[in-house]
Amino acid sequence: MLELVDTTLRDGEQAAGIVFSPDEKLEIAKRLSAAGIPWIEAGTPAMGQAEQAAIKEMHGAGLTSKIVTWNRAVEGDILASIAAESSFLHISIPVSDLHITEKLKKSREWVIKEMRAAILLAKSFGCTVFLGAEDASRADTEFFLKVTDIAEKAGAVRVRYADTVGCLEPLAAQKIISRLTAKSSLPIEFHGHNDFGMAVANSLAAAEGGAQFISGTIAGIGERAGNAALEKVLKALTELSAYQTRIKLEHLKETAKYVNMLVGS
Amino acid sequence: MCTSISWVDYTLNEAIKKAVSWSQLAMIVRYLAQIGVYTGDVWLNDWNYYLEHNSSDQDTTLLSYIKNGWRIKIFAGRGETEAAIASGFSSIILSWQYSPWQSEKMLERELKALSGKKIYLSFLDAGEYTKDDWRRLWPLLQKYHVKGLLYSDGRSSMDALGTYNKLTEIQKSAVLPIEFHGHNAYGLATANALSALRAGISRITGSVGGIGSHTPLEEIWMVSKYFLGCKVLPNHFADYCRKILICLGVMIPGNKAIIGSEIFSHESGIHVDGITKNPQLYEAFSPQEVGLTRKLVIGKHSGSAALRYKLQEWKLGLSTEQSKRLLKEVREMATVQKTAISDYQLKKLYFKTVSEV
Repeated sequence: MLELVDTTLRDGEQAAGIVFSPDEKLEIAKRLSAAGIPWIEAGTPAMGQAEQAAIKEMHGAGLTSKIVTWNRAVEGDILASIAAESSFLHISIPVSDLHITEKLKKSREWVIKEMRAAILLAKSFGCTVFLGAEDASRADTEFFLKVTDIAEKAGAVRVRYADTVGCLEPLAAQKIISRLTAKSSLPIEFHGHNDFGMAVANSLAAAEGGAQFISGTIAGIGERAGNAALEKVLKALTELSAYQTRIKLEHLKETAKYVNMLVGS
Repeated sequence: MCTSISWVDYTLNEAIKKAVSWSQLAMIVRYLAQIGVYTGDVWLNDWNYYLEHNSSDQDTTLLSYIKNGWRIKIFAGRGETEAAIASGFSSIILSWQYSPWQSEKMLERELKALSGKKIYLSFLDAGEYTKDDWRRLWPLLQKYHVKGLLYSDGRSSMDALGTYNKLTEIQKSAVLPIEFHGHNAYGLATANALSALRAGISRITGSVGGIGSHTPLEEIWMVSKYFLGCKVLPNHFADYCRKILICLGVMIPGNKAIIGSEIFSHESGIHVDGITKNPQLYEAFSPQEVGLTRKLVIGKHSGSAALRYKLQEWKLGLSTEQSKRLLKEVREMATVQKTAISDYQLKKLYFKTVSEV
């Protein structure tokens, strides 16, 4: 069954100028949990103690959703997640040569080494690890598969294919995800951005292509033109493509109204 | 494919529904022309209601321009054909839906009533028609010299692959030009319009900002450029789109794809670090292309690279220790005030930090 991953509290809050208070974060998480969202990416513990405290509060709130924290492949980030009492860790690495050479000024080999070390560190604390492949839509697919394979051997259980700048279109998304699903050693999560207004369509196409997880944000909040709006993805998936999920669409729509009220749109 | 693409507007219909003034309507028409949109559809009911309630100070030049460029749209089976002819529009578009109460005989009656006029036919929920349906319909449409067929996804029920497959198929038997008219209830309209273009359809309907749940014109323009390599971007299109939406009194969300004012605002540490190294790392296209400017925002998600970059612009230095301390202060302030830090606040925090560390 297809599963949805909500990242309103992490990628959504990263939109310039948006800040949720700890109480608002908890309220959004409670609403997402009540709606039946299985995975909530709740924040980045490396941002400091306040963020860690907010995440700890979510862990203790008796939510049915599993709380995931976002990390770079950096020791400090992993330890911050552990300090936030997290056991589901998303570890992100860039996989496009553009990001590796222009942003990190490093090599593919360096990325693999850091990724492996970070996964092993998280695993040493008994955590479940999800790999995030940043800028995957502009990366060499063979490198994506290589990284996925190494991550799987190190103990990761899922890989996020991130269309970081929203540069995919649905026919291509479906083909790529279909090809990757056939070869990937890990189940694929699709993570779309809305720069060309096609994030929902790309998410739908990725699901058709075999992605087992789709991530997005409530009301589509997020960097630049935002992420795939999760309530729209769910509506399209269930009403147009007859996907079955246990998530309650009406609850998500209400959560979208709440989030819109908080961010003032 | 690129050379023959044209756009059919539904913005004007939204404008008359919103009862804008004649002068605002004239401005909208002028801005649309600036961005290469010279034709569209307006519903007869909306048009008549507008005229009725705006009977004074009518702009006859504008009226004539609209009646020659836009098509008057009517529902089949509602006895609107005479009124459509009387409206004075040079083209009439008949909207038809295959249903128990709209038989093909009735369609033929309406087409006959419009004989001699420039007729277009809109098929609501066209995606539900089979190959056999189309084979049966083409001769009828030819008999009445129908100029074109508007393939409408009236209930937003099509997705990208379905749109591509269905339009590729219909193109094989089509005896007249086809236009694609998508709707956006599921957020799929732009992707569907792209599929339509891929399938060889060269007339696409839409509205500025996607108002009225149509395909946002600005999105399909950018998509045509970036995914099909078509040089269809009108000069200063984003600026004209914003002006049109202002005339309509429509607030554009800051994160609206292509034209939202905040789509080039970056706050998170990783993104700002990337943007300052190479904007392509986190931008699919440049702000200049859509008439916007990049903003680096300091807030809860900022990193030390963003602070250093911002302070360097003001020729202010920062040690590693100061940077850590300032970042902590910035994050705390942003969390308390629940929004980004202004330049003034950042400078105040900076001088406080520097004096303490």
